[in-house]
Amino acid sequence: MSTAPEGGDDAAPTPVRRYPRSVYEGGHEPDPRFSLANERTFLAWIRSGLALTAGGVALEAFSLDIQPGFRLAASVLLLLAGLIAYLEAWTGWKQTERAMRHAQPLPHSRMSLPLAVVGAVATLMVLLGIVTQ
Amino acid sequence: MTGPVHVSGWRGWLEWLRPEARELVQERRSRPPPALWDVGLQPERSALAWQRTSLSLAGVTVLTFRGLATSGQLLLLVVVGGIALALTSLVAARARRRRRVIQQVLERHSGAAGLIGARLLFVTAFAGGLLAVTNLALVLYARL
Repeated sequence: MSTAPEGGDDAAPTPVRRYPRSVYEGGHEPDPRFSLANERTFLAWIRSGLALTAGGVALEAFSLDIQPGFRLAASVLLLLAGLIAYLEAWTGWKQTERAMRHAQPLPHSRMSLPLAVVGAVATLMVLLGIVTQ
Repeated sequence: MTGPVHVSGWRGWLEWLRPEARELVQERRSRPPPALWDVGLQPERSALAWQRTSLSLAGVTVLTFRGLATSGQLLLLVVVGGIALALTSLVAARARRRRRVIQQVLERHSGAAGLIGARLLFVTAFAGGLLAVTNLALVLYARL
């Protein structure tokens, strides 16, 4: 194949029983390129989550010159933000894949705002921790 | 100076090869590039994204191991560390296999068939969640 597919619906065997059922049970196969892009968005969210987790760990693991109370708060908030990112990765992937299968408008990422708020508060904690030290 | 025509600089490196090896290199160079399923290189970009993610996951797993080791909780180190390591290895190995399977599906059905399911995606998100919860527990345990 040297050209991109036209997304034709010739009789190609579709794998049955794919996980998760809630996504794959209905609709039509989208262009594989869209599914691959959705997968990469998922992976980007996972890496964001891993970065947040690593940041939360690093704050506490290395004895940084930050007021301990604020430092702990920032660390916990970053670790929670990581959890939110993993959740968004999975639920966002599911919603997008389902929307593409049913030719519906793509959903927005619901966790963006909570994540931005948590990240901002964590940054504020670090700032306060440095100022009050 | 006698002998073959001399190409100056590093571009002349072919001259240093034995004739058989030189022919092999020239033959390889003259081959047409492999056919691409998508000129946008979508499968390749996805494979690279999986690689980046596997590496990041391995990095955070190592960081978690450090925290577990310094916590002094041997049971936690063995059980949670073992599970985290197993999940990280699983994701890295399955990501490589996923690329092969996707490539096969795309070549056989020219993109009209569905790709494979998303169990690996769930496992990856779960591994991240496990690492986050473990580190949350470690941070709180160390301080409270």
